[in-house]
Amino acid sequence: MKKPNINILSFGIIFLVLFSDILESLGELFYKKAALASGLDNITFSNLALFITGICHSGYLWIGISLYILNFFFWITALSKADLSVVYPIGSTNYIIVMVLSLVFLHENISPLRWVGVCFIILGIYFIFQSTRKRAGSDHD
Amino acid sequence: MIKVFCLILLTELFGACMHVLFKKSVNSLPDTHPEDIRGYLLFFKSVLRLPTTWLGLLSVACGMTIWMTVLAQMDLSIAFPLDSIQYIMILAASHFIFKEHITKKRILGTGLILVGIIIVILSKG
Repeated sequence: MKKPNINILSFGIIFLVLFSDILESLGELFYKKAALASGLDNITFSNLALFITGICHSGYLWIGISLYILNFFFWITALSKADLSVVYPIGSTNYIIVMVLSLVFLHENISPLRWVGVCFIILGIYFIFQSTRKRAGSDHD
Repeated sequence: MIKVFCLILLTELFGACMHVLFKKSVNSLPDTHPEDIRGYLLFFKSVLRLPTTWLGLLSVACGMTIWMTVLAQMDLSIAFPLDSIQYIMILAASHFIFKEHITKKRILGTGLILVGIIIVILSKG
């Protein structure tokens, strides 16, 4: 009876990917802050060097990079436990996390259509889990 | 606008390369199921010894540099939707490079996620 083990493993993966997504979302936020802190709104080849010095002087960039380094270890662990075609789509929980964060912390209004979108994402993740269970049952490698 | 679009596409391509290279790294290691913290540290150590890991990180660095220039020119909410292209790139890479068994359910799942993402982004107004 291998099926329960496979389920537990899948749940482990979803938490790994969720945590990795939270780190990534926060990282993105800090990168945006770094880009804004550069004070340039039109980047060309001539002021690229100025832009890079600008973002490097912003502490936000380094917070973002630190979060990405931490994220790397979570992501590598998740990748080692399942197929790329399983782990990567589960990363779409990112969109749900961003929405929940903006609902809770920014008190943003979530339109009904957005909830529909989130339902599609959850349904998609459900089917991906289904596909892993069937695969593990039919062949093992 | 077309220039920005091409830059985003390039970022997505670098992103997909990163995932493929990382997956190549973990696939090349014999034991990928460590059980304690020590096991994990050893696992990370061997991952960091592989050239594919560093190529993957180089790919992130390239992608991130381009992404930065995109973000400064464009609102995050417009730049994000194009992220969905990466799902198709990854699905193709999983099939052609890693010979993963892509079932109909997995394609359906990825498709539903793609639709969901597009709805979420369009609903922003």
